[in-house]
Amino acid sequence: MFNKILLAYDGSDGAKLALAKTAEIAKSAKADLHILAVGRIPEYAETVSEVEEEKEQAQNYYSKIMEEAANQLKQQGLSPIVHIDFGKPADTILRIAEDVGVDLLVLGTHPHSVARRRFLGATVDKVIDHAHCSVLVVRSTS
Amino acid sequence: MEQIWWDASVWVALALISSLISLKIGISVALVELIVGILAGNSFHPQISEWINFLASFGAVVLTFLAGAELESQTLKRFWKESLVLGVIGFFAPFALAWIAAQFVLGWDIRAAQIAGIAMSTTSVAVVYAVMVETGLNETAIGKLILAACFVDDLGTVIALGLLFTSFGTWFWIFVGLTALALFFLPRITAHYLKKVNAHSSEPEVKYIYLILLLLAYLAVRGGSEGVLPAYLVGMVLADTFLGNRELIRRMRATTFALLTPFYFLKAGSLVDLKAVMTGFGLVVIFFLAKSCAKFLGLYPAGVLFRFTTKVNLYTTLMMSTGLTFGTISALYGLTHKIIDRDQYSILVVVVILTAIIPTLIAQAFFEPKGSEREVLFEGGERDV
Repeated sequence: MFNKILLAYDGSDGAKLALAKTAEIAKSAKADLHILAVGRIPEYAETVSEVEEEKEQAQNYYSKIMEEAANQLKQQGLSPIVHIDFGKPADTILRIAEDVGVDLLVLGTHPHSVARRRFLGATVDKVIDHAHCSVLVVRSTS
Repeated sequence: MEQIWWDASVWVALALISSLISLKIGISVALVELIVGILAGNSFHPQISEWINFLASFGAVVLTFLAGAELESQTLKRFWKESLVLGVIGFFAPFALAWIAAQFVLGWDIRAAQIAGIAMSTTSVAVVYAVMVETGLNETAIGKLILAACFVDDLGTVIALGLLFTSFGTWFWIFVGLTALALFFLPRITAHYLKKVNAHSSEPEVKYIYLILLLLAYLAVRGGSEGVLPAYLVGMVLADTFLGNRELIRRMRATTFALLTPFYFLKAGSLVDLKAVMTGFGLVVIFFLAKSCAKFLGLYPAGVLFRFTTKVNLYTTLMMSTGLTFGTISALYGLTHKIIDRDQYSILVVVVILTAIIPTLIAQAFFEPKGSEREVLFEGGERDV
């Protein structure tokens, strides 16, 4: 079974579904649970303050979302460790997963159009391709 | 008269489109504005009138000031030797190689070749910083050292741009004298002034900074120099004052990003002639290689001298090979002062855009220090504190 699980969470419907599944797995495996939110910062920025401001806004936005998620998990008897980090979502998820040393990575997703997926790529695709551990993708139907 | 309103609507629409694209794809609005400008300039040719030229020039000045104000003086003091050596080499090596390549290989005249050298000499503190935030390197000693070196490199660029094409007449020396006085007194006067006006809703702080920048820009241009030179220097001497006043930076950035820099980057992009880039693609490759090779040949041995680990050394070299804002400012200066023609300008701007993207991608993919590598600055066990 799994000893350390990382859930990538952004408060979306797909992520909420993944949160519920992750809680089930973590309880039955008695695994340590980490949840991660990734705030995007602009690539190729003009000024340092632009990056700082985006970082601050993302921190404020995700603090509330992560607090709600953590409370929900605590009500189920789990003690999640919360991470908020910044950068490209897939790269950051992979980096934190390696740093923490998880053996299961969980992501929620929702269906993208073919065009969006082709041109912008999907975080899920990259994480599956490059993760050092098992990956569970929880897909919402809406 | 109604033409002004139409022209303004077109430019602001382009700025808005750029913001929305930037929001969607997570790439800085500056780069998107440049690319949108290139597309607009090569399709429906938006009108560049006198007031657009002014807003664009003022945008470049304020942007340069903000870049200077982001200096961390403590880091520069702590790593002064390394950052000075890396910064000076990071400026001179590509400046010299691109100048030589342009003049002696491509046959550009000496002043055009110097503009090419200056445009290739830059690095980008903001591009580097954004990459480092993603990895947490901005908090480590190596990250701070690289950023300090980037500041020194960019200082070389603005000094070269401000001094190489001037005639050193009477007005130039008046400009030098008054700028020196301003740099000496401004930190004390500004701290006192900010305390006095205390963030009033009529924005007296922003107006005060704008007035200083405009006056010094006037003196610089009157003296045959360039407005970005005093702006960067004023930013640097006020950096510590601004460090404790992030709200003021935020307000200045809001006005600058909403109304000034879009005109600068869109205009800079709209003047790029894609046909010239296609036919002169070989020149794009030559300048890109000149910049990258010069940065590598200059910076890597310096890193060895400071006993950087191989990975950190390669990462530093690649990070300092980036460039964006100062590269376009230099090229646009050359074009507006008729030192380079539009074809040469187009080549240089495309190379600048490529240097913002390619070195960062390579550095992130292959040479990013990971885990404990982030903490080790020098070989031999000396660690960050």
